[in-house]
Amino acid sequence: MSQAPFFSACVVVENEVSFSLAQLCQASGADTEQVIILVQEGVLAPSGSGPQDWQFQGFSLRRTRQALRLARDFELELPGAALMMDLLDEIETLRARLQRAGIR
Amino acid sequence: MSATGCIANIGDSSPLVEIFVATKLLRTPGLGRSRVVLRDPGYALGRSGRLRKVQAADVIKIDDLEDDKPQARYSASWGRVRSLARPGAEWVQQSERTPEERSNLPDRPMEFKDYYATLGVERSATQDEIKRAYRKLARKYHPDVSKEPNAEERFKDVGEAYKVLGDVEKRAAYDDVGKRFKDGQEFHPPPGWDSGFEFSGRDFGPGEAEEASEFFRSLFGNLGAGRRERTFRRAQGEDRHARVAIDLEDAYRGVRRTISLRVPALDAQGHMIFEERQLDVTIPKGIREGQHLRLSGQGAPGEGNAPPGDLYLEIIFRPHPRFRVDGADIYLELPVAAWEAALGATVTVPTPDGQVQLTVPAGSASGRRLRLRGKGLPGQAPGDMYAVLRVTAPPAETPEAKSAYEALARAYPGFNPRQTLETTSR
Repeated sequence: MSQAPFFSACVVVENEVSFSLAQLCQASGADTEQVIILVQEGVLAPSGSGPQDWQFQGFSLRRTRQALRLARDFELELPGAALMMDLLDEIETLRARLQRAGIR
Repeated sequence: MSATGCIANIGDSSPLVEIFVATKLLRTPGLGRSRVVLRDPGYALGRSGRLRKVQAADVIKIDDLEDDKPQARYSASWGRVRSLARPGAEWVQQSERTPEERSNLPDRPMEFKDYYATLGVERSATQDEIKRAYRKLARKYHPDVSKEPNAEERFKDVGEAYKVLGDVEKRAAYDDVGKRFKDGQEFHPPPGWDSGFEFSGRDFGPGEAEEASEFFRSLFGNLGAGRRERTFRRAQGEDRHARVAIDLEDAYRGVRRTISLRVPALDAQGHMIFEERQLDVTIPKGIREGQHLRLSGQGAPGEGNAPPGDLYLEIIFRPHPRFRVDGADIYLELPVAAWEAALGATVTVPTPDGQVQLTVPAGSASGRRLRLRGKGLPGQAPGDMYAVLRVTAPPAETPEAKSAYEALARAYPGFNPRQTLETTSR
């Protein structure tokens, strides 16, 4: 049955959180290999010299999940999904530029 | 036309089923479809499987109102199930179910989902045709690429249909059940239905299983093989994801929200059931669209003594009638009179945080963007608000107004508003 709501503290991932490789896998549901591919494809850009000490910024969670979602829903390999994300990003940038120039 | 009905019980003494009374029946001739006007408020179970609150006097569409069967499309969430009786007909109680059978039933009736109709293919379609139909719809409605309104809702249905029909095993199982049901009909899985099936493949992204419709879960359970494999490596509970829609104003002030989550749990018999759990969350001031909140330890429970996973909430802004949001910046279309734009003026402008005074400089043209620094979304680097001018001219309805326009025309003998058209023509 329904219980009384209980209070829970929270943090804003994009502002306050960074992830290690293992943490990003846990949060996004990706496998280690999948994250490594996304780094190779340039979707994710961690700081650190190698997988052992990679640190991912908070927004990496959103990007990882989007890449996995695109790969699954369009039946693509991850490099294909990465290309798709590049193009979607570019469209987004161009749209914003059009909007700033007053063209809808 | 008015409807009548009676309260019926199934099994024990708790009133599990009661008649949903309609006060009026509106038929669409020749279509076999009807609409009814509801007498009582309640919950409507839509085609997407989602519950929606309905008010008395609401009009709801129903299909196949031909026989005396109750149209079990309306239900309340906690055990009380409401059905709709055919107007004028007495509702015939179904045979009583044993407690054992009841424990296999969901809390509320489900509609049978016609996945073939969702994908727009024939029942005889080949796997290739199904795949093609899915890809076409995915391109149109996938929330990451689509600009269609309610793309997300549509894609959820399309994706679910493809998960079933795109998989030969699942399709065969679905076809088998489908012989006995029509789209939108009340659906109860046959007793023991899913116990013998082990489906392979990745059905859902991690933490997304609870997004599947109840109909899908009743047929195919909740788990994909990938998830089970993962638990060997990680004893910590899985992280979960959910979305929360807030208003733009909430992001300016912060807001406290009670969130209902459907969490999988095991009942006394070891069956997978979904429990509703409520959680109070303070959404901080300055949150941006698409950002995530992390609630530690609110994900799936861990195995044994392992810690639970975390819960991530993705923040979505409801569309605002006035403001458009772009990252931390917001935009407002600001109508100004032609003379305000020409001569300059100080005007009152709404922001999500209250009204401000804005100076429109003399000689402004339509489309000019005036920046209100720091009036965008708050935060360490607060965004800006932009008022985009739209110059408007009032209609000339009185002799005075007409002569004012005539005076204006005389004052601008050489003015050509279509100059840009001429320079681009050959």
